[in-house]
Amino acid sequence: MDALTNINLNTILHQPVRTRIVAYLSTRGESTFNELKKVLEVTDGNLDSHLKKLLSVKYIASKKQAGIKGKQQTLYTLSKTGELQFGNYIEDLKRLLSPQFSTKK
Amino acid sequence: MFTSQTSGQIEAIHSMMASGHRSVYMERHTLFLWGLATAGLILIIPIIFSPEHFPITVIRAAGSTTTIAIILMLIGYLDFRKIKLNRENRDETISFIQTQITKVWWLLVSLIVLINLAMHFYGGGYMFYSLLLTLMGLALYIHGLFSKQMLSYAGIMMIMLGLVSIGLRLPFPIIQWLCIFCFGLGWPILGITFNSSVVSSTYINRILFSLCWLAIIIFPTLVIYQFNELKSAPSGNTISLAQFKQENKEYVNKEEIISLSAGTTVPLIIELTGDVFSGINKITLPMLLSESLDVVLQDGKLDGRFRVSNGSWKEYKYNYRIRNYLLTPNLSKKNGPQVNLKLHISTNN
Repeated sequence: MDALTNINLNTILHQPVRTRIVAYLSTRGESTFNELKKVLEVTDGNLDSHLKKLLSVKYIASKKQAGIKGKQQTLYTLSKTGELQFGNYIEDLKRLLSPQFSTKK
Repeated sequence: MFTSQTSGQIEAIHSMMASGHRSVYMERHTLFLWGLATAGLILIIPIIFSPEHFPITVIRAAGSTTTIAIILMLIGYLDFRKIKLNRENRDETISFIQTQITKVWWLLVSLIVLINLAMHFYGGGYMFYSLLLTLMGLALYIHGLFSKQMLSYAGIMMIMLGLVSIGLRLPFPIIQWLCIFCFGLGWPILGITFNSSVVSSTYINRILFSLCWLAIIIFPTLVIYQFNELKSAPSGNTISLAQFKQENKEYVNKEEIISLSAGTTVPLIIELTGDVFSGINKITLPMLLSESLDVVLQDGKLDGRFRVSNGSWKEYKYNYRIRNYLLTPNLSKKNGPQVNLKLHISTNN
């Protein structure tokens, strides 16, 4: 049990919706609020609160971009910090799945 | 319990990363725009930039390549702008992967334009439309790998069409019509149907749709080729070469078939030029016809239609090839410097 407690899972990322947001952005590049809502199948309020959380710790960044018709789009991208933390989080998950932990059920 | 939660979390990460990778889709208008423009170019470019209108190869090559490049760039710009507008209206973006696939698409289109230019100078024009089918098939296939599987199926069909057309040595006009119907008819139909859940739901459905799609391209090609073949059969009287030589009349709007029997001498006048040669460069080879040959005179001039041994009528410009071209320089004590030229003229594609 000692070894297990040594792994401190990132509390920001260790939440299903936030993990999925960060995983999606890591391969998608950039995404709008509507795209994220469609992929994650969550409500506006739920998604908004998780995005705010990720923005507050600077794991993701947002920028406004003017389109062809002049309409403003808000785009979300994964920041360098977010990329690094996401990589660490996956490593932690892998360590938890390693044989020394698999017996601890 | 703990392990299953962790596994579930990792599976969710995998699933979302895969979604991010596969967030590519082709807009319906893309297939309409590119398909119709390509079919139009295949129809118009050979007529405008024909050797009759532009006898100098460099001018013909530059003219046709520039026209094709400008039109395709315009189509590319319109396509990209429409994609951006559609995505903006749906509050969506163009993903990183889609941008990379668009670059591959453009790379393949540029390759086709360059091949078109090179073939004016280095030959191989017979293969152009087969290459066009193969390369654009590859572009669809790559797109389909990241978006809708139906696009990959159509891409494979196009690649097969391109390779089979060369493998079976199909006549040039057939390959040209295949291309026209593939882009002008096949692509818009694909644009309407590739998103349909019925078409792409099962493996069998995808195979069946691909075969139907192929039939839609091949059937009109065969019909139009047959129609052209019938149209090209001449209606005039057939006379021998001896009768033709004896005739003394004016040819006005008249079609006549001259039959040249096997064994008739056809002088082949060869004119050679080169930057290191001077002197006599024109020789006449008295070739003999190995089979009977019928040619058509229109108003007293050869109009390009011919048939060998009472076979089907063909157009000269589409049905002759120079094969096995070989130029070998030699230097020996017995003969001194010598250049051997070998080539085989074929009227069968």
